[in-house]
Amino acid sequence: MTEQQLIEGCRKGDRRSQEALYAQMAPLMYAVCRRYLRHTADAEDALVTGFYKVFTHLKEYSGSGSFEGWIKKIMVNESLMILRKNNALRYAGDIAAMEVEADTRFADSLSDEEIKALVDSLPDGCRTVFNLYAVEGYLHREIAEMLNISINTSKSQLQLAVRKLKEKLGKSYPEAG
Amino acid sequence: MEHEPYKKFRESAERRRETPPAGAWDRIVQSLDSGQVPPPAPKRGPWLLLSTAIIAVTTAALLWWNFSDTTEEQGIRPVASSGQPVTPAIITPAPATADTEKWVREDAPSSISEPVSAAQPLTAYQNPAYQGVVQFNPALIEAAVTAPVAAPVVSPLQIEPAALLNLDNDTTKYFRASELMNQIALTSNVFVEPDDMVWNLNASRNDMSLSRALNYRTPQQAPKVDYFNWLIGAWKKKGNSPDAMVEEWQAKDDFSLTGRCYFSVNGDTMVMRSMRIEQIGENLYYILAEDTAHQEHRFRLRSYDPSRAVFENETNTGPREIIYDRKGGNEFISTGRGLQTTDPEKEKWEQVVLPDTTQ
Repeated sequence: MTEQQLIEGCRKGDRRSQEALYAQMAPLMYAVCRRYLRHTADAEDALVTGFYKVFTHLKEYSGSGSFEGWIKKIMVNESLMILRKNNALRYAGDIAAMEVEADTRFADSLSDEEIKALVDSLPDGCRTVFNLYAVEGYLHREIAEMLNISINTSKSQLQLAVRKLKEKLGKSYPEAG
Repeated sequence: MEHEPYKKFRESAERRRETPPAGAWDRIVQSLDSGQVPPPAPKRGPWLLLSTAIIAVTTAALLWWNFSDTTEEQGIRPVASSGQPVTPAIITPAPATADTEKWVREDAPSSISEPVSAAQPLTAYQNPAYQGVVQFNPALIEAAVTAPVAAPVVSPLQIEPAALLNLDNDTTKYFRASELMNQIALTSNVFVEPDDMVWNLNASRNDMSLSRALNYRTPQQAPKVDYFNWLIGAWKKKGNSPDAMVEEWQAKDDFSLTGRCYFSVNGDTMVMRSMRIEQIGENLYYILAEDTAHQEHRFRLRSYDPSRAVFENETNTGPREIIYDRKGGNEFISTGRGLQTTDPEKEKWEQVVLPDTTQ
């Protein structure tokens, strides 16, 4: 079954198509939710609510962008809602943000599991900004709007995240810029 | 390449897959059947774990104490495993099948007094089941019927449900024709009634059907950029000037529209300003970029109904409100209201088809 057929089936409310879409997408989307939410119960809530919205809002997907990307945005949004509800987003240690190119060579030799563990060890606030910027590709102004913080806080939390990642690896690289 | 330093992180995340919890799909199905947003799963926090442990120890002690009296028939059922998601015992019944009402075109009886308007002659449709009549403006029916089928359906939440249906009594169903058909014309073919059911309209010149389906309302519905899909296309500022300004909008992706205002002078295009309507988080913004100033001004959607959208930025030094008033299918009025504006600047625009310059 092609993706288009799957979407059409889901739009008609066909349960088998919905289940097939879920089976295909859920592992990736659950990984997205887990990226933002430490507790599995929270990640499950984001996944369940996210898919509920996917199925009930599918008519709003115009088909102009990637379907996977559309679902991913919904999952990220749901995860952020849960973080906000849990009051988990705190942005401690604000530093003066500078426009410098981040030096992330320290990650070059790491495996996927090591990268995941490293990023997971960051505090919720800067980890969320890091994931939104570095992984999802949002701009600072978009992140600022999504998290209701200033652009400067978004930038400084990103720098803080990179600095903490380096510290955790115990490696010392000169600051770029 | 702004994000290139993070390529390793991004690729690693994109490769990652995790097996979702076993009960997740069941919860989704249950929510789809009930039409309710999934409630949060029971959390297994430290206090819950502690209380579970206490219950387990107490149960074990009781079991041990009563061991000699326990028969096979009286066996105590185990406490639910804390490692498995708990499936709620209450199963919500499946929704009733969607019902469809057929309406047949009729001449409007003279007994129908509202909301006939001389300016907008109405066509009546009769539904034998209700012995009632629904009246529609044929021009708006035309607009609804000829609307692009693929046009995204606008979220029903934007519509004030109470304005749509007027149920006079048990057996007669009247629609406020002018309001109703305005809604239909705007939203392609979907509108809602007060109990959150969604009605789909399929209309042709001689008959129409209304089919009812479950709603897709969510409690924290964010405004959608789709609200403004009607803007897509080119609009010319009304006036006598042959080189009238053109405002042009197009869909950028599922979350934003981009637009620009420009003059065409001797074949050259002079862009005066560019705009975006963008869904960011749970808000919708009208973002105005004055091309000369290299500066963006952001106006948050403050209020919306299908005929009027008000964007606001209380701290802006220029306009603080941008208002789009939709007038029928092919006109709108834009208004910029400043802090000290007593007479807001209004611009009237009409939809135009621009010549294809690509050939």
